[in-house]
Formats: sequence, structure tokens, C-alpha cells
Amino acid sequence: MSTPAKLAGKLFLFLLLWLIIFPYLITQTEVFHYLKKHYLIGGETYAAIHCSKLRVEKRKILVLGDSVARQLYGVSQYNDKIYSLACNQAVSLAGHHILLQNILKNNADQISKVYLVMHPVSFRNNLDQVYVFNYFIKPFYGKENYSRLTRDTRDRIGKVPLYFTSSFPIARITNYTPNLAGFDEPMLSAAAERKFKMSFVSLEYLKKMSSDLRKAGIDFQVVAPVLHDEYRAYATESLKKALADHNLEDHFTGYFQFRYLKKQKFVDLLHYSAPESLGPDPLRLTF
Amino acid sequence: MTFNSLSYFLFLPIVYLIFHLAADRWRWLILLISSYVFYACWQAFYLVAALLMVTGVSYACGLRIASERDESPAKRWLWIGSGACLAALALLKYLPFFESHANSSFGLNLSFSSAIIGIGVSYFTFQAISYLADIYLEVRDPEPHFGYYALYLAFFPKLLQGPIERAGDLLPQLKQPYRFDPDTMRSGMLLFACGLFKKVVVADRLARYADQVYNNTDAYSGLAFLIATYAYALQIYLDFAAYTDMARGTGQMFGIKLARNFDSPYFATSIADFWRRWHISFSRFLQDYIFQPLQMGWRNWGAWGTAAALIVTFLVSGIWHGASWGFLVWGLLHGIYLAASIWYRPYQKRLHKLLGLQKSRWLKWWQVFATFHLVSFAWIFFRATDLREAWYVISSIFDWQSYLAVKEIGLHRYIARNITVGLGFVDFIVLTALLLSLLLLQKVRPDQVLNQPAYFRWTSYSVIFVAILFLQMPSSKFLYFKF
Repeated sequence: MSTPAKLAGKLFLFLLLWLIIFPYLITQTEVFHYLKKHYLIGGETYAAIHCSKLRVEKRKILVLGDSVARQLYGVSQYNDKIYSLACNQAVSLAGHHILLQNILKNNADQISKVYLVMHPVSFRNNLDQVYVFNYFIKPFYGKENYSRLTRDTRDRIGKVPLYFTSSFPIARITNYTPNLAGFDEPMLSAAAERKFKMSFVSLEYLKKMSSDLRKAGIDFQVVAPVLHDEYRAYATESLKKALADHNLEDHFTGYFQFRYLKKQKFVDLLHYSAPESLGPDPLRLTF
Repeated sequence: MTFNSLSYFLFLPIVYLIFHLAADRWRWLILLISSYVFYACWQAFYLVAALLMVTGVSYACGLRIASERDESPAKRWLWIGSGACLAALALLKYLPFFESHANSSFGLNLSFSSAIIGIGVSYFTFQAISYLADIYLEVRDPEPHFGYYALYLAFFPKLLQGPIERAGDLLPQLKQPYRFDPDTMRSGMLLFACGLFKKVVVADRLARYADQVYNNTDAYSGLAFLIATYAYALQIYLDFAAYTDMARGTGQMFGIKLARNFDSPYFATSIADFWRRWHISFSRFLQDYIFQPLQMGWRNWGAWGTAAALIVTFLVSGIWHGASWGFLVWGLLHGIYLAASIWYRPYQKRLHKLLGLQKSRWLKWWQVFATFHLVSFAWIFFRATDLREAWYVISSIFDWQSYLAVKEIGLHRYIARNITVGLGFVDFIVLTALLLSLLLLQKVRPDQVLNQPAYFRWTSYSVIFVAILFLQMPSSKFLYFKF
């Protein structure tokens, strides 16, 4: 006959095994690296981080960008002229900046030009979305990148509920996400404004990218993908003003000459139903 | 705080520990305080105020109904109590509807309802009404102890989404002294884990498919809509059944047996059978307090009176789900299904007899198939944003040309656009395997696992636990919270 203490003891051992010991052991194996890229939410981010640390074989154009860019150019080598680290808008420009720093560390001589392919709504990301935990904090917030993040970014991370659990082995090997309901409200209300907007985080890291690439002597352009018809009604003034105020307009040459496709070409407001139908190098980055 | 949130996994052991260590005479108080803390975690003071108001009014009215010797004043108190409870429910549930109509009709810009949530209000309101009706019908005596009555309405495992417990079932259990029973505790934990598995692994995975298609109807066609409708039918069942399992599991840990709310509803052989198996506590509520009084009142109309009572009952059910035409049509459809069966059933029986099919297994499976499809058809109106979208989905499902698009776009793209939508190939395979496992294991009860040898038990626990850890989807709310 079990007593409450015996039952509690068994439960404790069970939880210790599966919540602490087993996850820790997994993180020490190669299985973890496979899990990260192919199974976990935000797997494309881990794939982009992995590719950003590789040596690029030939001189290449680098593509960074959101999930729309990833639909068009994928993650890793796109062709013999383009190397892509496009992953997801949820990594924010802070994450894209880290990817850029990683690749420049080994390949500054191999990168001829950098394109940031971003849907204009992706600039809203202020690390205040429900995806921030899996796409940004888990892959990027750790010893390796701590000093690369600004104080403001670290403060913002500190406001994400249970952000510190991102380093727990159980959180690293699973899709565990803290309940962020309510946390993403500013983002949702902003979306209802029907205007493109530049967040503080986006602006801060755009300036950093611009500065880093200027120092490295690499040209930097921001490019818009083809947009859903719905976005015709969106106002662009706020975005343009933020760029003008911070002397970033040079990187956005031609950005606002948006091209649109009918809603039937999309699976949602952002992503294409058949990206391959747009042809090779759909944004003509190598032309 | 929801059952699948981290905060609940901290809340539950703390409450249990205090409950376990406390003396019997204080345990109701611990559960009552915990239930109010649990509800207050939604950070909506008006919800707690509504719970307090409904508790106070129904408690007082219950005592008054019992103290009245004549039927007329007793009836008056029944109406006053029920009316006050329903007013609280209507205010929280239909304010957004009235506000949007006031805004559009009078050019106003009211936005009170944008911050209002009505989570749980329906369930404790229905319990309060059933309590008052039972006292009026002299099915039970009023509860003299305000604390126990308050706990009956607020008991946290069933507060947000039911089951709608009858006073006669729950109140005596709340008063019983608690004795720790390891088997009940283990069975409760296992039931909770099974519910969690159904929710975070299966239902939330199905939601990916259904949401992707139903939220972007312009991008999809026939086959995707058909699969998304099946996915939604399974999602809403597993989501709701999962909550009930977790509620019952939590209840068992405290020595309380809550009612079963589901009994394999998609294996029903008729719509009437479906409603005996689906959301059982709510179906019983509708039957006892709406359908039967209406049927009694209209008994002189014969079959037409019963049919009208069925349709009105299911229209009420539709309206309860929300102020939208989709819910109304959903309720109307179920009302019509049931009303029609009054007339066709005798002919159906004769036909089965004529063909010698009464005991045929094939007939049973055909009936299960037909019932599932009738129910799924009604779910389209329930899930679609509006009637126009529902009609678009239905007409797309019956557009046979779209099923043949494989020739135009190729097999790979056809599968990606119709079959693995929102999930990807691997997750689709995982989901299919999970659904098959649930189908095969649907008759297995937790206590059957507990009777197995230790190695089998611990392997089962580990499989469920590891599956929850590795296959869970990002946390999402339960579908029925909004009702």
C-alpha cells in the first residue's frame, strides 16, 4: 500500500528523470543538433545560425530576411551567386544582426553585397510577439551573443515572461513556450492600424547593420518582396519618416515601389502558395 | 491560468499540499479560496464579481423557494433567481454583439466590450439555474451552508468549461471527509496526463490544419476544405474532451468525481445518439430545463409539438454559443436533424427490417459514417467566420473539378496545398499516427493501466510524458473557453 510520501517520492524521481536528467543528456548529443534544425519551432533559425558560421566557398551575395524571403531563397546556398540566411521575421533585426556578424567573421572577403529582404510588416517586430521565445530568445540569448545585444534589447528580453527558462535543457529540447497571452497585445493593436511601422528594435539594429557593413566596405540594400493585394491600403509615411530621421534612406532605394499579387496567390496575408511559380531569383538580386 | 499552463503546474501541487495537510473541517474553505484565486488569475475583476453575485442571488433565492409553501411565490423566486443569473450571463456574453450593432446603427464608437471576457460564466450560471430549478421541482433541498454552496459553483477544476454539475451529484462529495487513496490519486494523475496529451499534442496539431485553411479560405479549394472540416470536427472534440479529462483528473486528486462529458460521440449511430454522447452535462441541462418543459407545454400538438420543442431547444443552444448567424444555423441544423427523425425513423426501421439489416455490422458503420458527416456539415457553420464563408466552403467541397487539380499542378504541390497544409509532411504523418493510436486505445481506461505490472505502468507513463514533452504544440487556449 502506497503512502502519500511514497507516491510523492516516485513522482519526484519520475519528473527528475524526464524533466532534468534525460533533457540534459540529450543536449550533449548530436541528436540535439538534428532536433533543433528539423523538429523544433524556429528550426529555420537554428539552420541559419549553423549556415552563418560556415565558410562560404565562392564570392557571394548574402540574403538575410524573413519567412517570405525564406520562401524565395531558402536557408543556405541558393545558387552559385547567392548565399541565403533568410529565416523568419520573429528573430527580429537583432537576430539578423547576429547572423550578419557571424558570417562576416569568417567571410568578410567573400561577401560582395548584402540584401535584407523584408516584408514591410516585419519591421514592426519590437521583441513583443508570442514567437519571441522560440525564435529569438532560445536561439540567440546566451553567453555567445550576450555582449552583441544592446542594453535595451536585454531589458526587453527581461520583460518576456519566464525568459530565463530558455536555458533549461527541457526548454531547449522541446517546443515548450511560456504562456505569453497578453504579452503580444501591442503588436496586435499595431496591426489593426493598417500602416507600416518601424519598431525601436528594428531601427536600432538597422543602424548597426548599416554601420558594420559600411566599415567592411560592403554594399547594403533592403528589398521588399511582392506583397498581398491587401497591403495596398497600408500607409507608408511612418516607415519613410523613421528612415529619413535616421539617414537610412540610402539603403531603401526602390523599396517602396511595391509590387502586388492577387490574394489567390497567397496562403495567408504574407506567404505565397506557389513561390516556385515566381521563377528563379524572383527579386532579381543578381541582375 | 489554464490547465496546460506552467502556472497551473505550480498552483495544483501547492493547493493539493495545503488541502492534504489541512483538517477536514477546513478543506472546503481551502478549495473555495483556491477556486477564487484560480478565477482571479484571469485578471478580470468583473468575472469574480459575477461569480459572487450569481452565488449570492441563487443561494438566497434557493432558500426562499424552499420556504414558500405556495407554488406561485416559489415560481416567482425561481424566475427572479434565474433571471438575475441569466442577466449576468447575457451582459458578459452579448455585450460585444449589442455594442457593435449600436455602433453601426447610431454611429457610436463604444468599446467597452473589447476588454471583456466571459470565461466560465455560462457554466456556473447554468449550475445555479439547475440548482434553483431542482429546488423548485422538489428534487432536492436547498444547501444551508453558504460556503459549500459557493464551492459547488466555483470548484476550480470545472469552473472554466464544465462539466455542468448537478447539486445532487457534487455537493455531497464536497462534504465527504477526504481520505488519501493512492489508486484514485494515480488514476487522477493519469487521466490528467491523457487529457493534456489530447490537448497539446493532438488537438493543437489539428488546429494548425483547420486554422490555416479556415483563416485563409481564398487560398484553398475542395479537398483542403474537406480535410479541414474533418480536422476541425476532431479538434473541437479532442480539445473539449481533453479539458474534461483534465478537470476530472484534478477532481479525482481531491477525491471528487466529476461527470463524464463525452462518450465517443463520433461513434454515434444517429444525431439523437450523438447528443447523448456529446457535452453530456450540457445536453442534460438542455433536455431537463428547456426541451422537456417546452414539450410538456406543446404536448397537445403531438409530433409537431415535439419537433418545435427540439428546434427551439437547439436554437437556444446555438444562441448560447454566441450572437452570430453561424451558431444559429448550426443549432437550427441539429434541431432539424432531430425533428426530421421523428417522422423518418419508423420508415427507417421498416426499411431495415425489410432488407434484413437490423443486426448488420455494416448498417451500424454506415450510420456512424452518416452521423459523423451530418455533424461535420453543421460544424462548417460553427467554424466559418460568417454564412457567406460557410457557403463558399460547402460549395468548394462539392466542386469536383478542384479534386482533379493534381494533373495541372503536379502531385507534390497538390499534396502540399491540400493534404499537409500548415503541418508539413512529417507532422502530418505524426498526426495520422496519433489519431490512429487514439482510435485504437479509445476503450482503454486509466484504471486498466493501473492494474498492469509495474514495468508496463511505468513504460506507459513515460511514453505519455515524453510524447507530451516532445510532440506538444505551442500553448493555446481551449476552444470552449469563449462559450
